[in-house]
Amino acid sequence: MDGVHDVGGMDGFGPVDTAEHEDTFHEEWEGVTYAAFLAGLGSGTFGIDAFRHSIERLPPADYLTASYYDRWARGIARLFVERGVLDAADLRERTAAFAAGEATVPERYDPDLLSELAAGVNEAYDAAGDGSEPRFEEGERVVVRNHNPAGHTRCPGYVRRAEGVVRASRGHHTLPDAAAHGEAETEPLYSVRFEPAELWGERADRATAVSVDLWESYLRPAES
Amino acid sequence: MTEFEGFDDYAREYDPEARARALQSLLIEEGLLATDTVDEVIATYEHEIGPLNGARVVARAWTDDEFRERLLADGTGAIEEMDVDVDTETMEVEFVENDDDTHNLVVCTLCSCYPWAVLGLPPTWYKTPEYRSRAVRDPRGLLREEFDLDLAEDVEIQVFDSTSELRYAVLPQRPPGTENHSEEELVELVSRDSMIGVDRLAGGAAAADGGRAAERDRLADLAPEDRPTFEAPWQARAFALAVALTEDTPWERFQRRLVSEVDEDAAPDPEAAYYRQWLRALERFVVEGGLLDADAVLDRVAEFHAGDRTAHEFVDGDPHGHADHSHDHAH
Repeated sequence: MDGVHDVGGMDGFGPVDTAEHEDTFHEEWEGVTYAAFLAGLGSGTFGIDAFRHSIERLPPADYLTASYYDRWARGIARLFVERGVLDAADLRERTAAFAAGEATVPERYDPDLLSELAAGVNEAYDAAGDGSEPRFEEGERVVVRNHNPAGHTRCPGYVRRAEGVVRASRGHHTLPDAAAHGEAETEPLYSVRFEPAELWGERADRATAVSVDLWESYLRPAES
Repeated sequence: MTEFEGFDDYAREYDPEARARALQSLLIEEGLLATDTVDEVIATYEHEIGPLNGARVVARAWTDDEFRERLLADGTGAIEEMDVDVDTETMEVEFVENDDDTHNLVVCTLCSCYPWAVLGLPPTWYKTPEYRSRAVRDPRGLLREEFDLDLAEDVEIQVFDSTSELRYAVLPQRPPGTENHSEEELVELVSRDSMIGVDRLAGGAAAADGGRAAERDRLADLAPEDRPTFEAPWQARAFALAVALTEDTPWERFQRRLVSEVDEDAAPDPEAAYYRQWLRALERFVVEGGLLDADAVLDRVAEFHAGDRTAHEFVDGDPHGHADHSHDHAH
């Protein structure tokens, strides 16, 4: 989808706040959100691509103004409801209770749960699989299709229709476009290198290049 | 699949803490989370997973050429050889090598993909649209303006946009003057930022550690008789402050004040007197140069003198740091 998350090459965001924060999680709820993410992946409720897509579906203004872990909290909560694990009305009601200071988090101990979730997380991540013979070779010129599905994709907008060179062939990997929507497909994956003028035109810094990992169905051979 | 009707309005209505706590509570009740699971996840990411694994990989590559070649050919395989706790089940890592003519930079324009198996969780800035948008289009300007890394126009910058579960990390160049360092000593020189590519270690660029490693190398290059010796930590601090503060101004401006302090002081113990003179010259330099207000310096001196403040808060990773901060707030 053409979402506001696809920021590569955009102008105008301004300076980077490089202030270092001492703690990994600035607030405890951020760590809680991370744990909920692992619970979703580890229980098989959702995969990494469905998770990314859930965040991409936030309205652009919300995406840009919510903090990083707030985007996660939103993406995760939506999926637990969509996948039928939690009830939307229960979630609303409980959230209202916490907002009003009328709820506490229940305690329950389960020492084996973390290792069970970790095993599920390993399965949830992309597993390099087998598949068809790769269509492109290292050094071959390819063009990125005008690949722009309505759903999830890992093809950044700024490389669409650009010509590049296959830098390396990376074996077969789960196709995110399919996995985000519950389908299992693997495809050859390539590292493709793009020259600056091809991506950025006259403003390009000549002594730069960008390499992007792209799945085979994103690509077609360049016309000779 | 059940549509979550009104989801965006729900998310806007409540702050993220209330939403996260509600999610946590319901997941605990459903058996998908437990109190100890949450505590362990937070503790693991806060204390155990960090850039040290990556630093160990880089230091090994600097000291063992065959390992370096294996690392560049098959990053994941080479990492698995080492005794580091890296989760290679969920991630492959490719190390890309800097040299005199090439600099590598890692970004994820679409979200926040990062080689966390070797570097831990990404820094906040790595996840911002500000970094993600500019890294691919104008990496040279980004590095110069935001990370004090001014690369020559003819150094080619190769940007790696991490779109897949295959992740990139940078193998920086070994800094000059470290030929006699052991592998363990080298590990300490490898900054997280150098493995993302916003720091170069070699070439005098500002480092993630505030340039301390570069300054250490500079001092190591001095002839032994030129190296400063100190009798107390405050002397080293005064020395380092003067060196750091005069980086962008002529040294003579500090030196002039130092000479005048030396002329005015006739103490018998030359070493202690020298750094006392040095410190006074530094105080004059920062006040007369307009860097600090004289009253602010006096107030701060009074705080240290009264024991109301210690320097712990300025030491990275110092366990006393927090305590002193809360102490400050009480004032």
